[in-house]
Amino acid sequence: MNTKTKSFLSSLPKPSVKDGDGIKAEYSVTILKDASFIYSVWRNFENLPRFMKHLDEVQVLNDTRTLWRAKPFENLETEWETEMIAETPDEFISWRSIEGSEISIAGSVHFSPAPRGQGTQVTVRMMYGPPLGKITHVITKLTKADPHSLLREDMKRFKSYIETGDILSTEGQPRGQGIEYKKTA
Amino acid sequence: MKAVCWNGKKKVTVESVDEPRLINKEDVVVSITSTAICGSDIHLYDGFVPTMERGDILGHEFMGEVVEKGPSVTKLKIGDRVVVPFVIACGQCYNCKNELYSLCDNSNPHGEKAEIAAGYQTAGIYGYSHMYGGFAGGQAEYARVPFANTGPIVVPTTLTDEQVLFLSDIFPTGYMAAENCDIKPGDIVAVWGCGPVGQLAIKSAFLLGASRVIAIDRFQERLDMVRDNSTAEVLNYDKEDDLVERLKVLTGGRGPDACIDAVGAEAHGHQFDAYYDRLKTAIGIGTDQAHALREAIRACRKGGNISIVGVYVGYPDAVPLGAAFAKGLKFKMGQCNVQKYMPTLLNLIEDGRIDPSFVITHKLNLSDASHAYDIFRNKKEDCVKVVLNPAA
Ligand SMILES: NC(=O)c1ccc[n+]([C@@H]2O[C@H](COP(=O)([O-])OP(=O)(O)OC[C@H]3O[C@@H](n4cnc5c(N)ncnc54)[C@H](O)[C@@H]3O)[C@@H](O)[C@H]2O)c1
Ligand SMILES: [Zn+2]
Ligand SMILES: [Zn+2]
Repeated sequence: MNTKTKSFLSSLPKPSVKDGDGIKAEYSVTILKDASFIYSVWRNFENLPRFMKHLDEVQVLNDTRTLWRAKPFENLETEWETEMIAETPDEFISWRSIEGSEISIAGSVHFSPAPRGQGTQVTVRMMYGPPLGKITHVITKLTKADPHSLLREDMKRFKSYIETGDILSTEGQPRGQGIEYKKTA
Repeated sequence: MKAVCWNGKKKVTVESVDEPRLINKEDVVVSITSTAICGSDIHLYDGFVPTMERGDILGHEFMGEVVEKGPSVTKLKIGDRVVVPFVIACGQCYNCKNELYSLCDNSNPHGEKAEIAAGYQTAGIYGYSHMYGGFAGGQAEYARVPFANTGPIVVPTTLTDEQVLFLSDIFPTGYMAAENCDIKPGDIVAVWGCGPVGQLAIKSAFLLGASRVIAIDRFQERLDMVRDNSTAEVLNYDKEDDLVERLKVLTGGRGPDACIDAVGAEAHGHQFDAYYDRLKTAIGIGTDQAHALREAIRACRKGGNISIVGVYVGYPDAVPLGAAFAKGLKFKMGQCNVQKYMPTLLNLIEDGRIDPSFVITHKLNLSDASHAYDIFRNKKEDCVKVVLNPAA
């Protein structure tokens, strides 16, 4: 094991979600862009709601603290404060919700070069504390999706957003409703 | 507008639906002038492809005029006459940059279904199930076309719709089938299936230097069409006791250097394996009927190439992998990387080296789609390829 991998694994944030407890999700995508570019998009936390489907807004409070607001459906709004706990430019960022938040989430993202000019590998690890933070619980119930599928979807969206500047959708396209077409004379 | 909708097994209906609008920044809306029915649509019609939903608009072979465009569209302008490739591709991911458009990473918004089936998601395709993105198709008056900078090709007005329409799918597919045979001078290529794809694969195999092509089907009108339009030899497998033995005799005992499967998941056959496939599919425990592929593998010469363009979707049984292994065969397959071939093939058409319109047997109105599916599916009226007119 090289030192980088080791530091990656051991740098996973623990304090807000105790080891062995909670739910873990991890996902990795390869994106055809430089690490520094991808890093800068992520590091600008206000960008996150562009591809994290259930996130409404991220507000930067200061150098290390951000306020995350999510509104997974009408009448439910949750927010929690997040602190960045480690950062290596172009390589690594980790964060966790601050103590006393109504949900407990910790996460990290790791950027490393992919071989053969394939761009950058972006690996995200998330931990949701027990009981599942209110929000993940609600989202899970609503969408019948597990944290892993949610993360998968967000990461695919992130990759599309970085590579193509947009996220392809089929929402709003026509479809048959059972109305038979009648020839008009 | 009117559109052809899937409403369950063997049930397509022409319905009144909303007109499409721009959704993403790089979209265009095309007013369709010609649209075709493909053998791939038959797999949907027969219920072979999972993740179809009632009301899905069918169709992936279409062309027309650009009538609306999004702010990020730089390669097309309003009024351009374009042929749309059936594969949707972003042009920006690693696979697109390497011309593997059908493997695009970013064009399938419902990729999780494909990921469950195949481990990874592949490109979106118009009107081809939710596993392939759930995009509304082009058997309609209008279609929304995403990633318009990496798809539609502008075609000159000197060529008719019929001459260029098949750049959308079957000509590039037939061409890729032949290219995947890695043809060397003197090579003999055998082609299973003389539908439109098989017939264009035959033409392409000759263009790429095959010395002989042997075409296999059981419908005499299709075999006659092959004979009329090329110098291929034809075999009616219904009249052969042992097709593989016959192919050996025709190739000095060596076998064809390359075998193309242009049949796919609904191969017909009289041997036991084909009945077994049909039974399993009928009772819902089988997905693909791979009779043609089995034969192609057995017939292929030692060290030869197997090129599969017929569509498979699930877990075909009893594929003779042992034979393929023993003979050291090479396999290439997949949905066509249409965008890669369009410019080259348009040139061939413009230069008069090929006119793919020879496969058309029926020109019908879109409002008669239900009839059109029936005659194409059931080989009635000697139907080989239908082009629909969306205006009527
Ligand atoms: N890979 C791609 O990108 C791509 C693109 C277009 C079409 N396709 C696929 O190509 C295949 C052919 O398409 P098409 O439009 O020509 O369809 P088609 O249905 O008109 O042709 C299939 C032909 O195969 C023949 N056939 C059936 N069983 C056979 C057997 N055992 N041996 C020899 N021939 C047999 C049929 O008689 C028919 O003529 C379909 O599976 C379609 O889905 C793939
Ligand atoms: Zn097709
Ligand atoms: Zn792509």
